[in-house]
Amino acid sequence: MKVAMVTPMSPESAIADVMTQAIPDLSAWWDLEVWCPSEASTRPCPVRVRPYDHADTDVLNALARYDLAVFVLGDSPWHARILPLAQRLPGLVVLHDASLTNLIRHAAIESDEFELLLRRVEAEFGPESAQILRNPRSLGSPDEWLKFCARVPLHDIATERSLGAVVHSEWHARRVDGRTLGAVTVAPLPVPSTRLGFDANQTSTSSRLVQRLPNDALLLVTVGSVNANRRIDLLLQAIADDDVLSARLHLWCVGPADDGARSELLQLARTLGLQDHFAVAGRVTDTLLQEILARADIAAALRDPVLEGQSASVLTQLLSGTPVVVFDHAHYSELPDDIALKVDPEDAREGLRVALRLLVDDEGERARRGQRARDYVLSERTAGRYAAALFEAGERAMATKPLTHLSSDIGARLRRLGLNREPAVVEAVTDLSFDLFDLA
Amino acid sequence: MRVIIASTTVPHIDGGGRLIARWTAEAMRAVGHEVEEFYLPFPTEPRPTLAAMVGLRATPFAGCADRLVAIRWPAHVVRHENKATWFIHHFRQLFDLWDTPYRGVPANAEGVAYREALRRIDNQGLRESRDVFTNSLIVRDRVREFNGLDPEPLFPPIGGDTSRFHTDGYGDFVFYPSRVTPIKRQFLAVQAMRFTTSAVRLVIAGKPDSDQFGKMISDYVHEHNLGDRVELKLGWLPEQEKVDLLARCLALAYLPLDEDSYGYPSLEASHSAKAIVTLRDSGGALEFVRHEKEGLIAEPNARDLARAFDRLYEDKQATERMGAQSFMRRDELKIAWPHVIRRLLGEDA
Repeated sequence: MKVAMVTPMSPESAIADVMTQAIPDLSAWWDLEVWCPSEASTRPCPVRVRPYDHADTDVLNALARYDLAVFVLGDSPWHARILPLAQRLPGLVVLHDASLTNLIRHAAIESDEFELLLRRVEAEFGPESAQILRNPRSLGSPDEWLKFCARVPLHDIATERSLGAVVHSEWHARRVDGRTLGAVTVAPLPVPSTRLGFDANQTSTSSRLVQRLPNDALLLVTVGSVNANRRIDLLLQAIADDDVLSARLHLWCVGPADDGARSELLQLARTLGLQDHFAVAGRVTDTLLQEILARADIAAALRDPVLEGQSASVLTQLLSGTPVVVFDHAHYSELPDDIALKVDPEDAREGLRVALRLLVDDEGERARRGQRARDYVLSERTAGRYAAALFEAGERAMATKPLTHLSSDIGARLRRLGLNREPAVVEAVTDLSFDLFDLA
Repeated sequence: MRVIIASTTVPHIDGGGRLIARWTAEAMRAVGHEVEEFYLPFPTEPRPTLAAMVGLRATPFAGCADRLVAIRWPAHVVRHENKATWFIHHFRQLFDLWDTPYRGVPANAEGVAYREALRRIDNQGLRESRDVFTNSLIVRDRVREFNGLDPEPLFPPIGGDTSRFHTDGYGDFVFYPSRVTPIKRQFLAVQAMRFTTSAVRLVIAGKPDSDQFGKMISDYVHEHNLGDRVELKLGWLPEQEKVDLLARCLALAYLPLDEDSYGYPSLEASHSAKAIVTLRDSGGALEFVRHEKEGLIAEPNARDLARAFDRLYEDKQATERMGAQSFMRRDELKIAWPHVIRRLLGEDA
């Protein structure tokens, strides 16, 4: 079967990284080629890579000649030249993010269809939401925009004509279910390969940051962009609430941070008397990240609201053998209970304090959970398992093709007869189709 | 009784599927039933079939007439409160022809999805029928296999005044009257004529489904200098000419691949008291023809078929005897309109 995977292939794209991991296995099953928006450089790839400059008719026609097109989407500009293709050619859509609000908004503006998008949002979510989408700055804070993105995810715009969707958690699957003609497949996201290689015996050059940490200090880390939904403020408050945690625990935030977020958090740490136990490490190299995680005793991943379909950074933390504290919601709830400590987000501050105390007080518990975390990732989150799930999703997408033909053919016929706007006719035809093709 | 006959057609394609409906209606009228026939055009390719199925299901037959008899696939999806289905074949490309070159879809998940969608619809249409019949044992077996139902075989007779068929001796030619199409294997019959050793001749008559296939046969006859022993009548054959050829022929050839039924050519041969030569893989034809009783069953290759042609020619006494047995075979199988009509209308046999 000839398959085209349309994905970013930039070396900087984390999504490109995980998709590339699946390609060796997929190319054994499929006659696979990769299509990617052109970039200055692309990742090495074991199958033919066909860059394209514009998502135009030529590209669309070329993709239509494959048996199946797989469109890889995330909520970033990397995907702006993929989305229009996914909207026009029914294919399998791989959704890395639970919200595509930024991507859809960007693409609508680029294609002069923003007003159309606003009308659709107004019809579905109300005039206030349309107004926010028109002018996100009216919300006043990035935090409010993230909440808006969670509430108005716009993923159905990418999936409504698709043959099926691949997501990376049951939680995300429930959100997408019914928004594609085909099946929704949950594929186990593999650990980002750029952060592979953790080893308990690893001894590499220590960074200055790591060297300065007292030997008896317990290190709590968060990994990923330091933004409003990372809830680092709650971690600081929970630590400050407990004398043992305040005395023993050091909190580092690893990942890109803008100046505003950094200064706000540093100010909060000073207010709480934790300035000597808190650092915003910023963006670090993969090597330094490995060193930090090798030294870390506990990790925390407290996204709220949750906008991604799965957390690659949590997988990275688990691979390092570090026990993880998460909120008990969204896809985080699906982590095995013997690995992650789950905190009720409704009682976050006290819940975090109790969870952290449990791990700080019990070195054996940390070690057990850390080992199980590493075992879990190594067995469950492999490139092979991910590829197998994508292959299965491809089979299911192919099986959906007859239904998309049915939908397209009936729609065209009703339009030709001018009956597509007659509710009674559309309802009768829909009822019959549901009955005959078991679509309920 | 007020009866609706609902069947499907492919415009400008004539054949057994159209005749069985028309003759059934005529036979019912002849015994006093009030019958209306509805022939609904239906596509032959998998993709347009799905949308057409919705349209067929929407036809408003419910509440009309006392009994609806659905015949050619997929007429059984029409809705009626007292529906009988005389199932004469599946969507063959997706079922019994799946493992053959005639499969109409790729053998991947998409093709399987087409097949499963139609299997479900078949199940639905058949299960809501008050009675389900098939036109042959082979179709009954396919329904058992693909749909898990156990329908009653009901062999279709020829319609109209069958007294037109008669016997006018046993000539020197094997006659093959049928729609000319690859699955009927007229080409194999012509190939066999290269290997015959007797003076037997072959007459092929029928309208080609495609000009290409007709030309392929003609070219082969020409290239192999078979013109004096193979006569091609490629086009619509007038009924009287067909009856005359049947009356005068040595025997009849009927060589379909895995056919759904014994085929009307077999019955016409029977009415004309002619032996039938068919092939081991011809499907329903083997329900009528038993080897060396009603005719000969050859292996599906040119040399074995040629031997069968020669044998019919060289032992005319045996050929005549098999022709006589062919004539009596219809009674043995209850191939008669009174029986068929009673069953289709839900009366006891």
